Amino acid sequence: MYRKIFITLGCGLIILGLFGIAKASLMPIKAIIGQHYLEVAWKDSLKSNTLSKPWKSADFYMVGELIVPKLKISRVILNSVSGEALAWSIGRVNNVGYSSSRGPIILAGHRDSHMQFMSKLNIGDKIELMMTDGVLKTYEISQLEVTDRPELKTSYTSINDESLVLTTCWPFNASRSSQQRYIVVAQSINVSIL
Amino acid sequence: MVAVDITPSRPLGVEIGTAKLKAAIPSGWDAKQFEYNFKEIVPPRLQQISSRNEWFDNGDLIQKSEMYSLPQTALNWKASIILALMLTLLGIAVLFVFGRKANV
Repeated sequence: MYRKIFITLGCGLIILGLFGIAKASLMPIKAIIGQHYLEVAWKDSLKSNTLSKPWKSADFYMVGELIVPKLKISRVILNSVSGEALAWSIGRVNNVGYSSSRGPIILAGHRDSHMQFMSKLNIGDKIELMMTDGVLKTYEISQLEVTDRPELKTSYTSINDESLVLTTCWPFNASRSSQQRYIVVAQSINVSIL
Repeated sequence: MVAVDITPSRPLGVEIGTAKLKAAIPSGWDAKQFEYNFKEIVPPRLQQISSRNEWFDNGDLIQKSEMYSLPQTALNWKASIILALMLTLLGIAVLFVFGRKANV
């Protein structure tokens, strides 16, 4: 009598599970495919020297590129840190747009996709950054820190107007969301015009 | 006649600077007449407005705060996949148990 109910339940669970797997695995797929597409779009926008969206329906702009030579990693920087923008790439927290404007450049990204490489960074590592002005700046990591709250105070850290700050959620391998943030501070050491 | 168009350009990476230029006034004029005391010559009401502008210019609306709130930066897609996988396995187990009973 109950067989039908249980078979329906079983089928329901399988469908729900498969749907869940598809939905969850879409996240890293989106991150990987999106990054390739953004890379091409960013190169185009640098050539045409305009601030542009990666695709028409996007509600964010590409404002720069982050390169870690040691890990052979590059990430296109978006001007937004909304959930939608961070699903595709990393974003700038203090959205000013140009590297020549005042204030540090603070970037955020997901710990289990775009910013996973942050766990491999160490003090002294070099990071390269190019914003929309086409100037390649080299930074050197000077500080690694974990904060208890999702906030960044520029007063108690060594952050100045010329700093680059990378942030992501901490700890890296946790499966739950937390209030802690991992912060990497890098100082500008070289500016070269291409 | 040949017209040559020279567009002033600033190299990349060079900040825009400001410099004071010598006032170019017609000869015979006294430069002193352009010097005045702001407090004496400007009506108090206008002074108020202008000081408010100064406050507006000085206050950097974006950068003044030294506290930046950081966004949620964890997708937790691995945990989601494991949870969904467990649901699927549970469904298969339910089907296996109750489907087999019918055959017996």
